[in-house]
Formats: sequence, structure tokens, C-alpha cells
Amino acid sequence: QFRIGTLVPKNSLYHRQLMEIGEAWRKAEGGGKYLVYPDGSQGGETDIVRRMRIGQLQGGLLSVAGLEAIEPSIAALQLMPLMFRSWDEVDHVREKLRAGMEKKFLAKGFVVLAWGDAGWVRFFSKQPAAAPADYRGMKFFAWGSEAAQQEIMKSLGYTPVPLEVSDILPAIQTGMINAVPSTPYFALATQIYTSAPYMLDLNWAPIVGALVITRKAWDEMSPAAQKAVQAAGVQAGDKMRVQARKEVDEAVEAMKKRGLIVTTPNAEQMKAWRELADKLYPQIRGKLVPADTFDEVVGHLESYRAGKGK
Amino acid sequence: MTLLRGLGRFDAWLAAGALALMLLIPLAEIVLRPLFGRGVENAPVLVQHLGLVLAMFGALVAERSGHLTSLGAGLAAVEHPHLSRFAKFFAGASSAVICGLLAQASWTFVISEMEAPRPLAYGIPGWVIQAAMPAGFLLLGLRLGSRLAEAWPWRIVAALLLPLLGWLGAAYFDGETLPLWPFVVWLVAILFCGAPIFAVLGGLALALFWQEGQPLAAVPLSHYQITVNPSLPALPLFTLAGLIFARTGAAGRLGTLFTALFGGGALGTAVAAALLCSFFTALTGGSGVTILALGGLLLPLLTRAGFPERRGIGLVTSASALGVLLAPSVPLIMYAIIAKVPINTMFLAGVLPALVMVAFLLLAGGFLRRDLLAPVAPVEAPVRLSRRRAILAAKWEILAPLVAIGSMVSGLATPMESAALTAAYAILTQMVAHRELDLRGLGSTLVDCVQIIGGIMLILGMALGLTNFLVDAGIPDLAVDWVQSVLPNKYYFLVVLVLFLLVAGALMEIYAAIVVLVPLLLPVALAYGIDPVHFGVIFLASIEIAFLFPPAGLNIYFASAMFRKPLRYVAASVLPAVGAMFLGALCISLLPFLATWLPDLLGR
Ligand code: NA
Ligand code: NA
Repeated sequence: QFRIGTLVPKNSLYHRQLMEIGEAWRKAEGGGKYLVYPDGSQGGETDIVRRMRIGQLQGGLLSVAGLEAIEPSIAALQLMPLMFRSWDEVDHVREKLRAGMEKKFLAKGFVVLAWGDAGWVRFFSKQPAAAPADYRGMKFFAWGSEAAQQEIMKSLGYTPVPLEVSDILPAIQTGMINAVPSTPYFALATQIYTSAPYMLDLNWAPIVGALVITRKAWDEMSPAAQKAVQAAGVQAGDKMRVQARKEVDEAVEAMKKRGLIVTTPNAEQMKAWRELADKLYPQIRGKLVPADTFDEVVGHLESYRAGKGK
Repeated sequence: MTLLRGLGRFDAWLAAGALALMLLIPLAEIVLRPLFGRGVENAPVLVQHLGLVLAMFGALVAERSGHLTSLGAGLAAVEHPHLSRFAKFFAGASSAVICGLLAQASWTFVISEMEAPRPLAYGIPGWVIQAAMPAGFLLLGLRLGSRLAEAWPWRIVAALLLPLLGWLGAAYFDGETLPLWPFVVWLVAILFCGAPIFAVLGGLALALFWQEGQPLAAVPLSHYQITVNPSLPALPLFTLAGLIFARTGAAGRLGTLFTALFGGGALGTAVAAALLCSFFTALTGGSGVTILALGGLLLPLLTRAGFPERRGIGLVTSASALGVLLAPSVPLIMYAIIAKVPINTMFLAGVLPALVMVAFLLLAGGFLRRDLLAPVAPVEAPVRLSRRRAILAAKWEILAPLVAIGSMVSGLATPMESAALTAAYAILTQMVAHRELDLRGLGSTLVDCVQIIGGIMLILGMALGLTNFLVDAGIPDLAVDWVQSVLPNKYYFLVVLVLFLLVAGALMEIYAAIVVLVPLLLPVALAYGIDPVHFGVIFLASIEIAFLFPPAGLNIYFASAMFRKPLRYVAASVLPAVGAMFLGALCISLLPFLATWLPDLLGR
């Protein structure tokens, strides 16, 4: 028996990749029950982790919001705004951190089968805005469970409004919030952009995810199945990453056709954003992201940029 | 003995204290956030977890005062003294054992959380509050066991032994595959012997996971998941507001107002009751809350107008289900989100169907028939106030829905904060403006509230455990595939859809039904050429009828708790209404323009 929970939509690319991994597992094991629970039918990301811990689920395709509940240092890939400037940088750092990260997950009782991503977080707002100061009076959507992030937002003069994901659309329609950090794909799927039609073309932070399975499930597999599943996982991860990046562009184009207004920050505004990020890092380091992992990421990025400069 | 008594008060203090904090923390947030830029740390999650404390210890208070909902006394109420005593003993002993099973399964869940602790707020790890589950179930088992005998030594033996038996059974057999049928026979037997519903549902959920060899901790995990749901704190808080209005002279003032507005006749009262119930459900988002808030007000009005008590209960219980289709009900918003339909469109789409449902309920349900009324002797001619004076007298009560909806729609407060505001508004107006509620009265209202909500949350949690099994076993998927293959015609599909939703809605909690069934059924509906807005209206209209069916039909439990009547009595009293609303749902599903006309008119 193999059961995987996730929030991705049924029949989406992610869901299909999970089914392919299952096919590889079934072929290697010569049969068996393989079930994927998409659309959050087993609960939110932290609930999925809980159900993995008690042994009801064997695996989960999760974003950092859920992975963090297993290993906090994974936050380094998603919770450091403006740290990464491109997918190349994300890929480079993830590749550098991967072995160590997978070891940490193993120590916590989980095996990482695939790494994926789901686009950049950008700001969608009701009113036009380009510089950090433009957003100061706005009320932001914030994940209800992530208290530390909200404290940081408050300290910078922004107003986080903790809500459930399902409350975002009514909240933005009533004016309870007027800005939502979201990936373009999510904004399109949930229609957030119809009420918050201004998108700032700023790659705030990447959404990074992984398919993890419990160590117990891994140990119970035959060596042949382990090999097959691992290979299928690598392949699925490649496909998920390529597709996610394409979907971002497609989503932005689709929304533009229906009234989305994209604002690109100019050099001066960009500078203000960088200054804001520099003010944020000391609060994130050691609080949201373990200090050593934070420094590791900064180090990898510096050497990568230096290498490219040559 | 004094120790057990002390323990008895301890649960009420804990549960009522949790409720008081659930009221105060959101209010503190509203005040502190703009003033100091920082409020209570992780306030929403903290409040949600207080809901778990409220649920577990509120259920203990409900047990102590004999308010744990059961299907009725059943065999325990028969004439034969031996049979009756045996039935009572059998139901109680079995429930104590099931509490032991649930306690152990909850403990397994808490251990898995302790191994990876996550701070909730102020450095307190989540498992500290999650431990309320094993503790609560264990105490519940202890209490149920101690009621089985008269003599003290035997009471102690039963109190310790039965939950222990359950605990050991769960610890030893967890992960094994056990056959389902012995459990089903046992659970049906204790159901008819008068065992509490939560024990039967919990036992069934455990048995279903057991026959698959799946971990038992899945059941308490589902219970935890629903009790800490972000929209759930609104439930006890709106309930508290309703109970406070019900305790003071608010009922009388509103009654006078209605008499002044509708003439006080039987027809006027019935129409006003139906409209008011649907309106209030739309505001509070939970139809159970309406029964609690308005039941105490409306039932005396209806009986005074000549309605037999049974029909009055039937009208209030069923009309409270109708508001689901009216903006800004939570299920309506939830459907819009899941189905990816604009919320404004859904708001407009629900209006006409909601009115159609009210009309069907009143006309086809026979609530406007004069020949079914009891003759009422005009005991005393009530002092007829002028409409203006009636409105002035009831001004604070009329403004209450405005506080609830105004704070939410204006974007000033989250649903949880708006519920806290409404409760605070009720307390202040009744304590200060009307001076009809003192501190002692407030305290006992808090305790009333926690025992009602505690009993209901326990049932809700166990029902969600069942739902989780259905999801886990992929049963909804299979059902849909089958329906699609046997129904070639769109109109057959619509009729069967309504029937299917009645059954599904009776088995599942409404939010779970929306989340699970909409993504599965909507593609099928689209394949038949049905508009997603129209489908949403059919879905919600059918699901709201299911509020009136056990085991997941919450309105029946709420009405049974509110009116202190057995479940069977309430279920029988809503039967005519169920028939009428079913016809209304069929009408809505066969006439799509009812849903689509208004949104088309006012532009999507
Ligand atoms: Na989260
Ligand atoms: Na829910």
C-alpha cells in the first residue's frame, strides 16, 4: 500500500507525475495499491505531514509550508525574499544544499524523492504600487499559522491579516485585505487577479516543493522498487520544474488578456526593494531560517555570482 | 467523592475559561493591532486551539449534566426493568470502552506530535493543547464507567477497568486488520440501547480504519483537524451571543416587535419565523447557531400563535437550514472558491432559489394551513405597542445582525473577530443597556454554551473521522464513476443528483462535502451541460436539506439540545419540511433560470 497526499489539483501536471512514479513503483513491486489524494482531500500541508507521521499516508508532495514542519532549515529555499534573482540561482543553491538537506530529512524519518517548484511569489494588489513605500498602508494576506513571518511584517510597518487560503478572495473583495503575495499560476486559478488586478513584476521568492515519503515506507520497498522510484522521482522533478516555469509565463499572459496590469519597478524602486530586503535579512536569519543554513545560501550565491562575473 | 466533584467543576472552569479567552483574544487583537502594531502572538491559531480545549471539556460538562446527544433512550426506556437496566448498562459500559479506544488513539497522535514539537505561541508546543484529547476521552470514559454501579467500590472498578480495557485493546491491535461486522453489530446494538452518538460514530470510524489495517490515530487527527479549523471559533462565539439574547428579555422585545410588524397571527408568525431563520443563518454561516439563537425566541411565539410544539420545532429546525443559499453564508462563499466561480455571481444566484425554498417550505410543508393549528385562547390581550415603540424597545437586538454582518462585509474584522464582536455586543447591551444579565448569569451562559458546543464538536469530529475514511478508501470517486455510467439523460442525472446529495450530505459534514464532492461532481455536471453557477445552487439547496438527517445533519442535534427533546422526536417533527424542501430543490434543479437570471441581469 502506498498513499500520497497533496494540495495540487486533480489531473494537473503534478498529479500526473505522481501517478507515473506510482506506475514505476507498481511495476517494480509486481502490483500493489497506489493512491494519490489531490486537492487537499487529506487536509492542508501540515495535516498531510501529521498523517504521514501516524502512518496513514506514506508520502506527500508538499511546498515549503509543509516541508518546514519536518525540517525547518528548508525555509532557506523559500522564505528569504529577493535572495534569488533567477531560476538558475535557485537551481544552483538547491543543488548545493540538496545532499545535506536530504540527509537532514532522512534523520527526521523522511526520504526526498523529487524536488520541484511552482513559480515566483509576486504581489497582487487592488491599487497600483511599485515601491515598498506604496505598499505600506496596505493590508496583506498572511498564512494563519506562520506567526514569525507576521511579526516581521508588522515590525516593518506592514499589516498582515492572517487568513485561510479559501478566505483570500472574499477578503480582497470586501477590502479586508488589499494585497496578496501569490504565484501567478495560483492568482489565475483562484481569480485573485480579478479583484487585485495590479501585479508587481518582482520575483519576491520562489515556491519550492518536494515529494517526500516516510523512511518506513522506503525501508519496506524492495531494492528494485527503491531504484525504480528514485529514477522516476528524478524524472518527475525535472518535468515539474520545467513545466512550472512555463506555466508562470502562460499564466501572466492569460491574466493580461483579462485585465491584469503588470508594473515593472524602475531602477530606483528596485533599489528600495533591495534595501528593504537587507533590513529583513537580520530578522529572518536565526528566526525563520536557521543561521547556518542562511549563511550557507549566501555563500553559495556569492561564489556563483562571482563565477558568472568572470 | 469530593475529589470527583471538584473534578466536575474543573471541566466547566476549563471549558468556560477557554471560551472566555476565545472571546477576549480576538477583541484584544482588534484593539492592539492598530495601536501598537503588534497584538497577541499567533492569535488566530491560539484561539483555534482553545476550541479544542472547549470541545473536550465542554463534552465532559455535557456528560455530567446528561446532555450528551443520543438517538433517544431506546431499550433503556422500556417497561421491563431487567431489560431496561441491562440496556443502560450495556450502552454505558460500551461507551466507556470506546472512550478508552479513542483515548489511546489520541495518545498515539499526541506522541507523534511530541516527537516533532512545533511552538504554538509564546513557546508553548502544540502537543500541550493536543493532550486535551486523550485526557478528555479518558475522563469521559471514567465518568461513563462510574455511572454503571451504585456502590462506590464497584463504581471505581468500572470507572478504571472499562476505559483501560479499551486503551489496551487499541494499543495491542492497532495496525492489525480486524473484521468489520462484529463492530457494526455491536455499535448498532449500543445505538439502540441509548449510547451517545459520538461513541457510536467514533467506534464506527475506528472499526472502518481497523478493517483496512490503517492507523487508528487517523480518527483523533480528523477530530483535531476540524476543531482547530479557522472558521470554527465563530461557532461557539455566535452561539454565545444567541444564548445571551435567549436568556434575557430580548425574546420578549423581538416578539413584541414581530407582533407589531406582522399582526401576530399564525400566518404572519410562520412567515416571519421562516424569513428570520434563513436571514440569521446567512449572517452567522451556521444553521445550528440559528436554532440556538432564535429557537428560544421563536418557539414560544409560534406556540402562542397556535402552532403545536412539534410543528413549531419542525419549522424552526428546517427554516434554519435555508439560509445557506443567502449571502454571505460561509458554504456559499466556499462553493464559489472551490468551483472557481466569482463570489458576487454566487451571491446573486442564491437569492431567488432561497426565496423559492422558503415558499416551498411554508406552502408544501403545510405551515400555512389553518386547520392544523391548535385553538388558542387569547389568554391576555398583549399590550399593543405602536410599531415605532416596538422598534425602539428592540433596537439593540435588531442591530445585532448588523454588527455581525457589518464588521465582516466592511472588511474591518475577520469572521472570527466579527463573531467575537457580536458576542461582546450581546453581553454589553444586555448587561449595561438593559441590565438583564449579571455576572452570575454570564457565567452560567458560558457553561451552557460550552456544554452545547462541546457535545456537538465531539460528534462533528467523529463524523469527520468517518469522512476521512470515505476519502481514504476512495469511495466518493467510485460512486461518481458509477452514477455517470448508469445515467445517460440530463434530467435523470439532476433528480439523482439531488437524491445523492441528500444521502452524501447526511453522511458528511457540509464543508467536507463541499471540498470533496464539488471537485468530483462538477466535471460530471459540466459534461451534462449544466452551468457551474446553477450546479452550485442545486448542490447547496440539496446539502441544506441534509442538515435535517442524522448522523451528520447537525440541525437535528442542535434542535435536540436546544429544545431538550430526543433526537427521534426532532427527526419526526421535521419530516414534512424535508418533503417540502426536497420538492423545492427539484424545482430549483429543473429550472436553471432561477439561479442564472439575476446574475445575468446585473452582469457577471
Ligand atoms: Na502552513
Ligand atoms: Na473544512
